[in-house]
Amino acid sequence: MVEGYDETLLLGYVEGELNDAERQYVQRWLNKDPQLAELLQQMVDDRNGVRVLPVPAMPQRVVDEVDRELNRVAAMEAMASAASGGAASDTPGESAAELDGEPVYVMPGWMGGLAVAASIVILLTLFLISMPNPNKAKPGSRDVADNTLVTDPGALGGGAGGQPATSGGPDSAVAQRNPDGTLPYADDNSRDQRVTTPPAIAETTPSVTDPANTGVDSKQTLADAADAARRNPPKPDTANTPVKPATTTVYAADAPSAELKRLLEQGGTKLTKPAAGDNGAPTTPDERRTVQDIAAIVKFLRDNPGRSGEVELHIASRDTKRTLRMLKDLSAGDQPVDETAKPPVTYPMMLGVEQLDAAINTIATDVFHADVYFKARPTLAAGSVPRDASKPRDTGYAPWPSLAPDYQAILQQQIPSRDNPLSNTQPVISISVTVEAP
Amino acid sequence: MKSDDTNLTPERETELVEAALAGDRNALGTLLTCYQKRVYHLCLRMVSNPDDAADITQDVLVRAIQHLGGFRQGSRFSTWLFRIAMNAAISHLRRSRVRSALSLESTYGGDDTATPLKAKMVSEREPGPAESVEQDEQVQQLMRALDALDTQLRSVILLRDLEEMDYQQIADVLNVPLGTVKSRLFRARLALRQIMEGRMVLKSEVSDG
Repeated sequence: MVEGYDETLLLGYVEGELNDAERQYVQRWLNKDPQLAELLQQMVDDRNGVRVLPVPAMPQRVVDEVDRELNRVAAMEAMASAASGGAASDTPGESAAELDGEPVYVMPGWMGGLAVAASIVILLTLFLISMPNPNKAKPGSRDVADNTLVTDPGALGGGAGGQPATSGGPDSAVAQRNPDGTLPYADDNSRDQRVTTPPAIAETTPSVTDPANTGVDSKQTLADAADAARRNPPKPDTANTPVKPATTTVYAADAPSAELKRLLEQGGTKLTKPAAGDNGAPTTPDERRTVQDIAAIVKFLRDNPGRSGEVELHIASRDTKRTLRMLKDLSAGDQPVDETAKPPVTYPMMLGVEQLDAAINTIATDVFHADVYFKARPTLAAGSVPRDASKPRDTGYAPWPSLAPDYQAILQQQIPSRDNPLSNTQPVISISVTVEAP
Repeated sequence: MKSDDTNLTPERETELVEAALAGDRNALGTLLTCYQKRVYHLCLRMVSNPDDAADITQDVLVRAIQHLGGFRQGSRFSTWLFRIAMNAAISHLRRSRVRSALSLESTYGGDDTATPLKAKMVSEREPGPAESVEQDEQVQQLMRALDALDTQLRSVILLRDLEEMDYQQIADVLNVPLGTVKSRLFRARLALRQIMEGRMVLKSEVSDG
């Protein structure tokens, strides 16, 4: 059909690229050959048809894969750039050495400054370490370096603060702890589960309330304790009733402890309630860290009971009534708190120093799943005033002129066991507690 | 060349290419975004299979990312990209042809897919899911005819009509002389017309430079 015709002119006609003379020339062919004219017109139609073929949608997976490849290449280039940048930073030193003709490494100036600063820090640290620790010499006080918290029920009942227990057995158990050393506020569901003995918790342990970290199933322990408490309620220790001291109030004459301040200011002193896990264990590193911060503060208070007035314990509980009731039971000599009061409720609470961390664990994770955190107390007053004291409680008046030289011994004096059956075996601290809604 | 959805002018394309060559991955991403749909369309019309076209498109774009340093700024980025795409599609078709020939040999005595057998199969096959939405019978017939066309002829028609490239760009993409492009294009149009009218194009008719 197209034989004998110039294909270039025919193509040009279809493509619309001929000039007038060429078009007229082709037009004469078409006039003579209708089949050729029809063929070329159909070619034009085909061309127009291909141009308007429907454009398909591209699969999303292709777009995603291309994006990933772009990101991957960008990341690799960034890494390569960073690596080359680090090498370039050393260039000045090397080039300076090259001026002498020998490849001698020249330390940059900032490294010299860094070395001096590091030396100062090391010397300062060595000096602080070499200073004597007054707590070490005190009977009944814990070594600051002893970074363990007593969570073992047996240890609590067997004499806190490094002292031997004056009386063993259930009757001398800590506060409302049961003979097996657990607290009577745990869930009943696990009463038949075994009692586990928590190990001593080191400073580096991620969490004192994280069973996954400590290997302690505190919930089980507390559940068993609750069961045991119902069966064997604590009885007053009449055989070992001490003489009530003239006062149990302690005022901090010193400036707020720098270490406590640091602990409080470390972001995240809030004991975050655990995620909705069944085991009640915090799941994220941040949560573990905050739990550890709480443990550090508790340890500090255990080692420095006289500092308890510098902090406030805040409990954000959804069940404030139950929380208040528990605190009331835990309290070692303070006035009862109105359980029906609307939160926030603030009152001073006295409790055995070794009991603090168990109480926090119970409140925070095992029973109420409340948020527990410490705050710096805005007054200089430390401790609380006894119920029958004439002075107003918790005021910001000036600190007591002087602490008794044997205040540690005063702290360890025993309060009548009817009110505080535990305090005869361990120091008692007074701390401001605020129960609030979450 | 056919304008794209994002109105990427040659000047803008040049800017983006320069930025991409300087390490700006956002510029490269913009470039690929502008062309990825057209690459996929070209690949789909070349291989006539959406899944295969998607795989080829992905391969082409990833290769473009990885080998951008090999792009010479004297040419158009789109030309470079479509050349990669066309080579990938033709390679895919060659591999498919080998597989198809091996499978058809036992049944039909070893016909090539570019022979009337393939054309017969293409003309008789049912429209796929993607094609079912294309109601126009004439478009369907045109697409089937394109499928039946020899790879070399199909590629030149698609670059000319689908991508609206000029002869030189087609020559650059296909890496053939300009005269071959013109000759192949006319033969392609003629072959397409013959397929549309039910007459087949033999491979021997289109074998040229």
